[in-house]
Amino acid sequence: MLGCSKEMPSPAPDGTAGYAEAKIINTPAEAAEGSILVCLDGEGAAGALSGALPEDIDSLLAAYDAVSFERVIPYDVRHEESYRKYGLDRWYRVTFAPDFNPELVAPALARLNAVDKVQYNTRMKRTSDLKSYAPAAGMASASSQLSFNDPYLKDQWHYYNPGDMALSTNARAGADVNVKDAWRLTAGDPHVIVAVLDEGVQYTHPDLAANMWTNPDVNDDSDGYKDDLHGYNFVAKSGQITWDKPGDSGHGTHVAGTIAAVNNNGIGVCGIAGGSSGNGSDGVRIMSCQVFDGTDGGTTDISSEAIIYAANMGASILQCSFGSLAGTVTNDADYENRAQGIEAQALNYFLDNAGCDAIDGGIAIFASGNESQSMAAYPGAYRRLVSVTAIGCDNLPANYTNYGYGCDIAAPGGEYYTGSTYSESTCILSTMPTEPIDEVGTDGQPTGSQTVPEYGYMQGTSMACPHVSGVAALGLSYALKMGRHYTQDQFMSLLLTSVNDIDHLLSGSKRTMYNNSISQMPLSPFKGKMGSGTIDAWRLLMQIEGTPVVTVKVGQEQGVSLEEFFGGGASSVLLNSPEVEPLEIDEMNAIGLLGQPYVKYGKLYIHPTRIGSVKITVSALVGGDSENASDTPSGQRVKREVSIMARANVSENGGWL
Amino acid sequence: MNKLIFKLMVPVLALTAAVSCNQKEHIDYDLLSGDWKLTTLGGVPVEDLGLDGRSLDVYISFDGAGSFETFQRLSDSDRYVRYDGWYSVSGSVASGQYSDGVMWATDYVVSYENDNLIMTGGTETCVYARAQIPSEVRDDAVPPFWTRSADGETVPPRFL
Repeated sequence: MLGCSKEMPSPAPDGTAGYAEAKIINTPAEAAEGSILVCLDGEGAAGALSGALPEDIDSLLAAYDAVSFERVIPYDVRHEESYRKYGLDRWYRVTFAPDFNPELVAPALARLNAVDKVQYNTRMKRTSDLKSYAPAAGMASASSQLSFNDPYLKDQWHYYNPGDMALSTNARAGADVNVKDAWRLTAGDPHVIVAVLDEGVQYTHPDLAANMWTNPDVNDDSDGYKDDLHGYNFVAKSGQITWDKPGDSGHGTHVAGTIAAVNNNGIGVCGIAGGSSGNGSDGVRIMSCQVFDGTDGGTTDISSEAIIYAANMGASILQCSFGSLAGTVTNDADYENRAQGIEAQALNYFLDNAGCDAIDGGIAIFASGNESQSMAAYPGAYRRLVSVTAIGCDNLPANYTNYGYGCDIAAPGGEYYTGSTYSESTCILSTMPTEPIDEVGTDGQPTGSQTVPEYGYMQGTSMACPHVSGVAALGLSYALKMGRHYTQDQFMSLLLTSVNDIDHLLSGSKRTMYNNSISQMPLSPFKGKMGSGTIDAWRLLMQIEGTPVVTVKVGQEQGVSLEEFFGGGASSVLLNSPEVEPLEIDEMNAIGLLGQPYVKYGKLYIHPTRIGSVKITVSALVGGDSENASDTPSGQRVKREVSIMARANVSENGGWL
Repeated sequence: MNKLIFKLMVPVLALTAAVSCNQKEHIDYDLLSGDWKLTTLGGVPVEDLGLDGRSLDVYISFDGAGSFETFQRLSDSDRYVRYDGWYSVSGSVASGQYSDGVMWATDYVVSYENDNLIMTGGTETCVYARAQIPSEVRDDAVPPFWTRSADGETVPPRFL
């Protein structure tokens, strides 16, 4: 685990060191140089807003040659009252010389009375190796089954995988998001806006342009954002979004394409919610919230501001293929209750205030990380967020994926080595910036390589994450079409139970690049650890279509499969702290129950004695073993309402007679 | 005289008895044919079954020649699921099989009352009223929801 030890400040003469130390809410691991974040107390914040900084803060800033002291979330009269509820109005960023070590000032800041919290400005990482590869012509042959005319759709095995051996000898039918049939019902809705927090998205890309969000109030600068036509560059603080500086990798353009590349336009690739008209009239909208810019960006303050912007500008989904290294933060209490970091509050703001007509609140989706750790990276591991693990075209965990606590769901992320042979076509194919970009190494120097132009393959939980964002966006589109409306919790439950089981495959081993050589990677460590299962777009749409009634037989106790409600992994999801909400007497009498129904070994046991119907609420934990936030990333309780009809005669196929 | 009346009456009675036996043992395919809509299940009106705002709704169509369709809404969706298959009637008992090979849950004793079709399976009685199946139900009906099973094959949902 990285950097878990707390910073030890030098003791103050008056013995307040312990108290001051507690105000520093995170460690300097991966902290950006040149800045630090502080949360002022109410009085200090009020003073700062009116231009009268508390004197001791003023003199401390001067002593360390601070360059600026500004609010992380810009003042906006329309939202100030809301910001106050989350404490977002009290967070300030102090900037110093670019190479200033923030550990030098943290203890001193923490000792100031007007300072409630000090937070190192953590630099987060994009969750892919940032490498891209060009598609080859004439690969898989699934085109006759597919509904859109985009020429590279046949190579996007991650949407529909028939198990073509030409793709890989390990390719398995069904290792996809099962969107082919879903597209018959909906392919998107422009009222659904997905905020892509990443490198800038190339909004001029011919296979993305028509699905880009366009700000209807771009000329209203009263929110402090000028010229924010398709989003905003929070690194450069400019409406000019960029994607091709040295150090950029096409990451943002790639994830945007998975969500909403324009479908059926005769060029390029498809996006899960990219519409069907070919002209962008019915795809979801991509809002580019640029938080990485070349070699800059990715810090807590930048992502927090972008998260608030996305909520205020009407996004329903936050797509975040980045995170801290797994193990830097170990549980929700660290992250939220004890820490109350600005990013946690910004995310709470989004989850509570974002959304569209189909949902009260937003959905935030993160990549779980690529360190092969048995824990998801934060922030994704946080209970209220969705953290996505990666599978390859063999329907098995990718050799790099994090897994375990905090991981909620799996999706295709691609894998170069599915089997012993290196291959790029077993990775994820999507849009790339149209001009090649010079790659830059960790030392900041050019490597001599470039990104591939227009369309390319990448691998990573970064690529798995937008599959879930795309399916969630498709689900919200269908909810709009069906006139359905959900609370944030309800939609999260639908999303996380729209899965297929993967656990039954997780025994033995698979051949892949493992421990730096081609060898056998054991699969049993992943069992029960990839989240609820692999995302399935068709299941989600069917769950939105309607809640089915399960028919059970009067006069006997029976175990009812809840697959339709908890996904194909029902038996494994329901092993994790399943609960049935107790029924009232009149509900029990409706079908003559002598005892409360219960869940055992993944099935609902019920014994009706008369004809009738009743609704039961079943829940289970996903992504963790407990709801107690202080041990490990805690689980998310997903609830599904199950309607039971009891009758004397029940057919095997659900038919009435 | 009495013997004559007695002799005359016996055949009349026999005739009457014969007619009522046939009414019990033979269901007219023509009477069974047509569109029907479920009104009660086990005496419970369909409005009291189903989910919020939507009652349980089942239509059956018997073509009078051995084929049937059902259009059923057992969810809170607007859509109906269509099943089809074959049926036969022997006496007053109807039995059937879905086109996926699954048999009906049970055989049903069929009778009529006040122009309603009554199908009784064991202890459960369903009452259906004549009703033409609306065109939007037929047109928008979907096949049974197919899920992906653990081994990647699509299978219909199984109920006990």
